[in-house]
Amino acid sequence: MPHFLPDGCKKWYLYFFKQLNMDEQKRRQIDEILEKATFAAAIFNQYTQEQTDRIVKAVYKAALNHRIPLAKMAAEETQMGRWEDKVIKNVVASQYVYENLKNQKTVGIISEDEQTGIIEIAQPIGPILAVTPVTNPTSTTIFKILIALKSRNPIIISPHRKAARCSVEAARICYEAALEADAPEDCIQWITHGSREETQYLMQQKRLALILATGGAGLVHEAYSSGTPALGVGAGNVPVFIEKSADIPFAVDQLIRSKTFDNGTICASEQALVVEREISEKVRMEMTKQGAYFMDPGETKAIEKVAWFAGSKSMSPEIVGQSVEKIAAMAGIRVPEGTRLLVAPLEKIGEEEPLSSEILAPILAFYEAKDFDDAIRKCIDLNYHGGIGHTTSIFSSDEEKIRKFSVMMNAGRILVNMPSSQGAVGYMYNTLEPSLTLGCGTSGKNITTDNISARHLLNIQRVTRRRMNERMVKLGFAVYMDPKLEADHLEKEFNKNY
Amino acid sequence: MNLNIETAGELVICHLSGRLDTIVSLELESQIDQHTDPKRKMEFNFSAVDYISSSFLRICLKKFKELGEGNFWIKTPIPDIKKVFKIAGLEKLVKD
Repeated sequence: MPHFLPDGCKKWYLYFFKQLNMDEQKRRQIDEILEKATFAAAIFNQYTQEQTDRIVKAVYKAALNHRIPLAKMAAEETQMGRWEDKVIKNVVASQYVYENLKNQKTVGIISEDEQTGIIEIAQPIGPILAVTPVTNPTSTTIFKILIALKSRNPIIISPHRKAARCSVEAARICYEAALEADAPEDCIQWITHGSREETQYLMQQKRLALILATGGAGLVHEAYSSGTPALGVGAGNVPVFIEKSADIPFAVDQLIRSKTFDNGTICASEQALVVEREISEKVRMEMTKQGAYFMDPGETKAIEKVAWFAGSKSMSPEIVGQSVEKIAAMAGIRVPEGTRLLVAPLEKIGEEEPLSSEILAPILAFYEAKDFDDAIRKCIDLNYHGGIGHTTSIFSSDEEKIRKFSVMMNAGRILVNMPSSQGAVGYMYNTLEPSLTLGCGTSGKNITTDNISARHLLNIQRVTRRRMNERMVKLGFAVYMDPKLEADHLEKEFNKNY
Repeated sequence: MNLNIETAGELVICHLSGRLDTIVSLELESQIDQHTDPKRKMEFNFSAVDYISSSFLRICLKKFKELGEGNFWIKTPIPDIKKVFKIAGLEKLVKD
């Protein structure tokens, strides 16, 4: 410390010096993590498909064997959701993801087509930064590790600070199993207690190949702004339309099963139910029978107060993944014993009606529409109100109406006659790829609407053989030099049958 | 054997071969260290190496830092291994 500083300044000097050093030290730590990851990427490049598959198999088995303790740890640490449902999420992330990946070719030549003369070669992309959320911490960690290893890429897990312990434990279990199966050292790393600045610094590093960003809008935006390629997710606000031709008891059963799964933490869970007036009463009765509680306007207002945070114009983090009993107690309302779902009958959609937004808890908005067209209009409004590009759901037996609904929606996944939480995640109720990172297209500020998987973590190189275009050869280029010839004539000539 | 050491005047040449995995790297490190002399240059001849682990990558980096640029290099790696050094950002260690 310079001796000429007056005493009053010394304290501040020391403080800033310490800050500077701390930052420098953290920066060095991050640089070290990246160097290790870069080395791991280099070593991984030598692995064959068989070696890679052996590692993936070992890791999935370890994760599956720890599905229950990891689920309990996640529920306890985050105080969100139900551990039994988190077990299922861990199963999806390990076993189902593995079953989907196991026969995929991800190393070297992955396809060869004599006719087109194209050979496809898969190349790993390099170190991946995986940001994982508080709502699905262990499952997302397992999932991202498996798809990274399958594509021979090292991965750095940056967990949500409120789920750091369970996420790191999941990563550690996977890493041990990977090493046991001869994976490259440091192929899985994690950062804990990472500040926002550290994450930002890491995101901007040139040696990082890709960011797999699952989390809130702020985080995803930061990832996109970093200059490193990123695969992000968008927010959901899933409307579900029970159309009048639907099997009502079945639809209600599926809807409640989905909306209450893990106390509603999945971003693809139903947020608002739309029904036509004609069947509205029938649906209400069936829902009540199956454990839904329709709130009166006073109760709805009380729930809104605890579920909505007016300051940030978003759901309150305190109710995310909480049980009906807890939310009712927080709001000071009394609900019948055994209530599984709180239903808020509403009319308006948009900012003036907070409960028409995404609420990741067992609270469902309910809308009655005049007819089919009115129902579609409401679904469009709900879909565009904070859930654009994500997921929508319909129960119907009328193919024409299913198609009409689907064309009107802006969603990566349109689910027909299935629970949307489990449906959007894939594999269980349909043939979508199992994934805990759901692309929301450009509307959701993502590059794809796909369910993200290992194939998104590869650079595909195409080796192309000479295959002359016969029509081009026959017509030649001389004809284009004649200024009198117009498009119609050239089109005819180009497509002439010889 | 994965290592043969030959001394030619000011130059120590380590002829490496086979798979330099984590266990092999551990064994080789002390032997290489014994033959490291700051007054001499060192070459790793890689022409018979067909796999390296990150542990061996670290040994290479360590020697490069100890002896300095121009005094340590890796010679004639097969293309697969050359690519490993390229991806790791350690291409400056390789002298084809």
